[in-house]
Amino acid sequence: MIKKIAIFSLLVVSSLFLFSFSSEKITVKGSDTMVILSQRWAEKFMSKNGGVTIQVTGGGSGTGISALINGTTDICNSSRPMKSSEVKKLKERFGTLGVEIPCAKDGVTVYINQNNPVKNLSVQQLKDIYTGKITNWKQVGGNDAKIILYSRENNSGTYVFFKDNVLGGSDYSPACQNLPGTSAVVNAVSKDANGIGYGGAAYGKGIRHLSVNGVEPNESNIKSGKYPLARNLFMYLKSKPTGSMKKFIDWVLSPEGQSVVKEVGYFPIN
Amino acid sequence: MSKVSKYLLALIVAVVIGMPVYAQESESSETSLSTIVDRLAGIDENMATLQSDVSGLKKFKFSGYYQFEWYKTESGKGLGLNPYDSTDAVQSQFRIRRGRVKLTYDGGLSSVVFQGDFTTSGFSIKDFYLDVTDPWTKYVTLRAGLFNRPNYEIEYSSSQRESMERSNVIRALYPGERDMGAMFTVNPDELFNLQLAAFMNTYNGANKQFIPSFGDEPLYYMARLTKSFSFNDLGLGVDLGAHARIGSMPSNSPYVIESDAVVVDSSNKIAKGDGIDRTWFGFETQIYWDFLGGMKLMGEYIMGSNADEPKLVAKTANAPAIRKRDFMGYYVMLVKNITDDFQFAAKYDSYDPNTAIDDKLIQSTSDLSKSTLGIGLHNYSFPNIRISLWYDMNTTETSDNVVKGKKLLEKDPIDNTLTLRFQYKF
Repeated sequence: MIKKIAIFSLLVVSSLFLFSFSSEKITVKGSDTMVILSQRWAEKFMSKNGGVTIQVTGGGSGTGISALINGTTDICNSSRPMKSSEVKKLKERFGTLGVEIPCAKDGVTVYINQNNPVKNLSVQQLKDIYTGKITNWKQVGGNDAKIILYSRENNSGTYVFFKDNVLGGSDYSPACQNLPGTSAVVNAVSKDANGIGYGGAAYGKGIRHLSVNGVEPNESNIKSGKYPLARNLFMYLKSKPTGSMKKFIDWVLSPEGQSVVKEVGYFPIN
Repeated sequence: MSKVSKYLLALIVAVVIGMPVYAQESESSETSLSTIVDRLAGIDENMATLQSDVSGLKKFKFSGYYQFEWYKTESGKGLGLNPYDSTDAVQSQFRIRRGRVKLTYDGGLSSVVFQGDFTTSGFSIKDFYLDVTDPWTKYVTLRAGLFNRPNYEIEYSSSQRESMERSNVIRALYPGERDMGAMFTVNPDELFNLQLAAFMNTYNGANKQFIPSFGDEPLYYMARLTKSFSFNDLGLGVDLGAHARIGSMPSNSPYVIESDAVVVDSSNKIAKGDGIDRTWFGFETQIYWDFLGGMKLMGEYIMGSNADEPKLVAKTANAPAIRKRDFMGYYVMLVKNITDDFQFAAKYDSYDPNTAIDDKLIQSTSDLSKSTLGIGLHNYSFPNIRISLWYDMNTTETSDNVVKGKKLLEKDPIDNTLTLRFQYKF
């Protein structure tokens, strides 16, 4: 009897699920660096594809990846590659490795106030500044003033990228002020003559981008990889895209989608 | 006085009278601005303090899961209508299976983890350990305290595992999953993952630590090596691994019952304190494939030599004796996503606690092999919640052997189980 109940229940539930279908709503969550870019993509795609709704939110790469693992977002935007521990969780939950789609190129650039005379810093100097070894602009050829550090929060992919590629995995100085989003960092540095921050290359009002190791963060240097802090921006999916999602991804990688990348201030992937 | 002169006079009077007013306003504006700047500076200072405090608090991570379930175990009489029928062996009940709360303090290269389990049976400490990663290469991590032993199914959390319980072989070999000890994990750039551990066997799944004495197994050692292979173009991932548990139990008796024997062979005497092997090896694989929404196939095979727990020495006509057992166990589980919200899973597992003894000579039901075929569905429609419906079909080996005038196990007991589980994970 109990066997019959169990098998019957399983069959009923299975048949119901087999007939269910995916909705036309696509949710995108993750990197704050990519929010504006992703919103533009969504707006343009939706204007040409009625019936498809794309909802874009930020929160940081880490937050987006968690949402992908929890199944609460369809696409995760990330400004860093997924960690092996995150891939492991995806494998456990969905039985897949995830699908990584590099969709734009960016350089993490270092911002200083427009009135700051410093033009260039080496990666080592940046490390020393952000770990608290160098605390005065005078030590790197600037004015005699205390360096005020601005950083992103630890759920940010840019935070992780900077920590891995500039700080060599060391901890940020406790003097660092962690701000929620690249715009907040740019805003803080633009108002603080002694401030220093970092973020995506697409941001620029009221601040100046430093050269790193003598290389300017311009398009050719970032695309060629000459700029030491060049990186790819990614979209992650839990499995191979189908239907509207595939159509959206294909469009993002098309010349039209990649032209939006340039409009926003990043660089096409190819 | 001409019209122009009148206007000029009026203008001069207005300017002279208005001058102090303007100066006052200007002065007042400057004062206000200065106050606002001061206040903003104060707010900035407070914000910096708050940010520093929040950054500190962010090092604490609070997570856990809660499982509530209804389960029904079948009996030979089928389902009884009266739930209070004392002659009906059907077990049907609601229960809180798990109430796990995990607190982690993540200090970057070091962390401390505490996990407790709250159920109606009481509170027990499940994990309490520290992790320290070497600051130079970051390849090596030392873990010390009370934690999961290195094995795939043990480390695969109950909150994620698709079958309702772990396999028979894992439950028999690693009761409680955890033990007290220290472990090095070596992971050089994801090339491979090697775990080397030593455990004290003082916890052994019980909820309280016991003090070991002579006859208890002292330290035992474990190792697990895993390697992941990814074929991204095919959407395929293959993880391979092996683990070993090496230890021995000092005998507190000169007599041993070999795995294939029923009674003590008096000529085969050992010295008190000689080690009886508790050593086994296991092989594992997990295959992940991005096929129609994703699927995975997992399996593990373990074989080796075990000995009875120190306090449970078999009684024979001759003398108390240590019981040796050569054993074998394995499981295979298939999991397939049906849609984004639903997942189907099927699992077969088998455990033979004594492979060497002739079935006709088995003296104890604990030597009978057991297998379970389970099938089920999971639903993930609601954030944080998993609803599972699972059916386990258990089969126990039968034996016609007569022990104490009765046949040992003439018929496979009807003990299939249906489970409906609700899980909330945070």
